[in-house]
Amino acid sequence: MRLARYIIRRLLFLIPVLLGAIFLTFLLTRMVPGNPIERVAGPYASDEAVEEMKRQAGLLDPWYVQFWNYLKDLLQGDMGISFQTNQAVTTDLRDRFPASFELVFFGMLLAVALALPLGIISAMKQGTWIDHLTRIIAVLGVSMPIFWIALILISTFYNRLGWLPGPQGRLPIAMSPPPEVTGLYTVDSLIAGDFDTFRAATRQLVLPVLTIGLTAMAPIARMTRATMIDALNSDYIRTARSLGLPTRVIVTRNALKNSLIPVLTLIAAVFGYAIGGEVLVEYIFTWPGLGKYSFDAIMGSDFPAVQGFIILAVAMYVLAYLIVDILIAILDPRIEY
Amino acid sequence: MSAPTANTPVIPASATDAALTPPLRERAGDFWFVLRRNPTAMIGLLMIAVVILSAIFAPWIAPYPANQIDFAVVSQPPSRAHLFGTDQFGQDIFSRILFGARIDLLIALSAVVISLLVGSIYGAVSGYVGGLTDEVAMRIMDILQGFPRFIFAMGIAYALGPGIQTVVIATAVLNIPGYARLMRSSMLSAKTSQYAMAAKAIGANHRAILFQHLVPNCLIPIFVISTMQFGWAILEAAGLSFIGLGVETSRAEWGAMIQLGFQDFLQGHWWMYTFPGLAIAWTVLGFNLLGDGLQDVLDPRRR
Repeated sequence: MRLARYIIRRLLFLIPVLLGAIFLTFLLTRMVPGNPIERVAGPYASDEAVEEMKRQAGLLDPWYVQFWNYLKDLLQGDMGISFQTNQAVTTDLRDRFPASFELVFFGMLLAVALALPLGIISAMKQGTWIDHLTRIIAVLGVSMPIFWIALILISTFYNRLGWLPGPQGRLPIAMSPPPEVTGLYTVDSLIAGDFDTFRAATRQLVLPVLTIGLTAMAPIARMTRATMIDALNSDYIRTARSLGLPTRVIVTRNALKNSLIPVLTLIAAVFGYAIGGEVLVEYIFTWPGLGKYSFDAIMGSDFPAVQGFIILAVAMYVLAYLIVDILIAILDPRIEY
Repeated sequence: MSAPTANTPVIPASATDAALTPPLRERAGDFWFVLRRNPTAMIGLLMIAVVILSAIFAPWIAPYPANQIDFAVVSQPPSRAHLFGTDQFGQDIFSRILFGARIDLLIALSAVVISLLVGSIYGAVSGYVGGLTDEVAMRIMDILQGFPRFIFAMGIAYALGPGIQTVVIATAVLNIPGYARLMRSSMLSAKTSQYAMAAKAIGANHRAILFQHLVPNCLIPIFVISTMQFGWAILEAAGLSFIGLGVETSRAEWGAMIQLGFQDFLQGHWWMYTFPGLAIAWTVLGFNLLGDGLQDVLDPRRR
C-alpha cells in the first residue's frame, strides 16, 4: 500500500534528525560546568574516590566512546539514573508525563476551540469589528510573556477574587491522587467515581490551562483567518457560489476542509512548542510535570535527566509533525506519496 | 593592458550594476512610501520609538537612578513619589523600567544581529553551493529547530552561566535557522533569475554575483523577519532572566524585575510584576505590529 510506504519513508527520515538531536544534547550536557560526580560525592570525598566514581560512570572515556555507550543504552530504553531522584530517568519521565500531557492537552483543546471559530468568522466577515477583535487578540497573544500572563491570572483569580486555588500543583495539599489508570487526574477521578477529587483537580487545572490556551490560541486564529481568506477567494469557491450552493455548505464542506491543512501543521508545531515552552508555566504553578522536572534537572546539573527530557521532547515534537503529515496525506488527494 | 578597440565598448563596472539591479536607495524609497500608508506598521513604529526614546533619555526622564536602594520605601504601592511603586529594596520601578529598555533593546539587537549574520551567511552559501552540501546544511537546521526552544536556551544559558552575554548567545542561536532558511530560499530563487544569468554572462565572478546582486535582493525580506525576531528575542531573554538563568536580578532588566516581583508574589504586591510585564508586552507588540505591516506591504495580496 502506498500510504504505508509513505509512512515508513517518513519514519526513516526521522532517524537522522533524532540522532542529530541526541548528539547535540550530548554535547550540550558535556559543556555544562560543575561536574556532577563531584556534587554527588560531596566535598569530603578524596580525589581518588572521585576519580574512581568518574571511571565507573564512564566519564573518563573519550567522548565518542561515551556517546556510543549512551546510544546503546538508549536503544535498550535506558536513559541512565537521575542524580537527583536516584531513579531511572525513564521512570521519572513516565511518572511526570501525564501531568504535562493533561495540561497541554486541555490547553490546546481550549486554544483550538476558541481559535477556529474566531478565525473562520473573521475571515467571513473581513473588516468588521469581530475581524478587528480577532486580529488584536492574535497579535496580543504572541506579544505577552507567558509567565507574566500566568502571574496576572493568579493574582486576579486567586489573590484578588479568591475564585480559584493558588499555584500549588495538581491537587490541594490535603488530597491524595485518584487510583492511577491513565495518570490524568480528571479522567482517573471520574473512573473512580470520586467527584470531589474531580472537582478539585479541575479547579487546579483552570489557570495553567488558561495560560497555555490563551498563548497557543493567537497563532492558530491568525493562521485560520489567513488560510480561510485565501480559500474563500479561490476559483473553486467562486464556482460553488455561482452554482448557488448555500454559504453554510461552501464554508463547511469546501473552504474549511482546504484551509484546515496548514492549520493542522501549525497546531502540531504549537503543541510541540508547548511541551518545551511549558517550563515557565509549570515553574510558576509548581506543576509536577516534565517542564518542572527539566528545570530542576538543569539547575542541579543532572545530565541524564536533562538528556532524557530533551530526547523525549524532540521525539514528541517530530512525532506530532509526523502524525499531521500523515493526516494531510490522507486528507489532501493532491499530495503524492 | 590593451587599448579597447572600437568593436568592444568598455562598460565601467558601476554602470553594469546600475543596469542590472535597481539601486537599493530607490527601492527603499518606494518601500517607505507604501509603509507610511499602513496604519498597523506606523502604530508599531510609534510604539517602538517610545521605547527607544526612553532608553536613550532614561537618565534625564527617570525620577530615580536604576539601582537606588532605599530601605525607607520598601514595597510601596504606586504613589505620586513612585509612579509604579517600589520593589523590596525600595528601588523605583518606573525608573527601572526606563533604564531596563536599554538592557532589553541591547540584548535583542545583539541577538538579532548575531543570528542575522550567522544565519544569512550560512543560508546564502548553502543555497548558492546547492547539492549535497545544501541538503546536509538544511538537515542540521531541522535538528536545531526540532529542539524545544526554551529548554535549548536554558541549556545554553546554564552552560555559560548567568549574564547579559549568555542571554544574547542563547537567544541568537535559537534564531539562526529562521534566517538560514529565508536566505537560502531567496538565494535559490535569485540564482535562477535573469539578472544573475546576465551577470554571469558578462563574466562576473562568483563572489561578485553573490554580494553585488543576490544579497541586496534578499535584504528586504530579511528586514521583515528581523522585526519579528526582535519581539521573540525580547520575550526569550525576559523568560531566561525570569527563571534566573539570564540577567541577574540586581540589574534593571524587565524579566529579572518580574522575578523580583514573583518572589514577593503571595504578599499581593501586584505592581512589582505587572508594570515590567506591560513594558515587555508593549515593546514586543510594537515589533509585531511593525512586522505585520511590513508583511502587508511586501505581499500585495494582503493589502
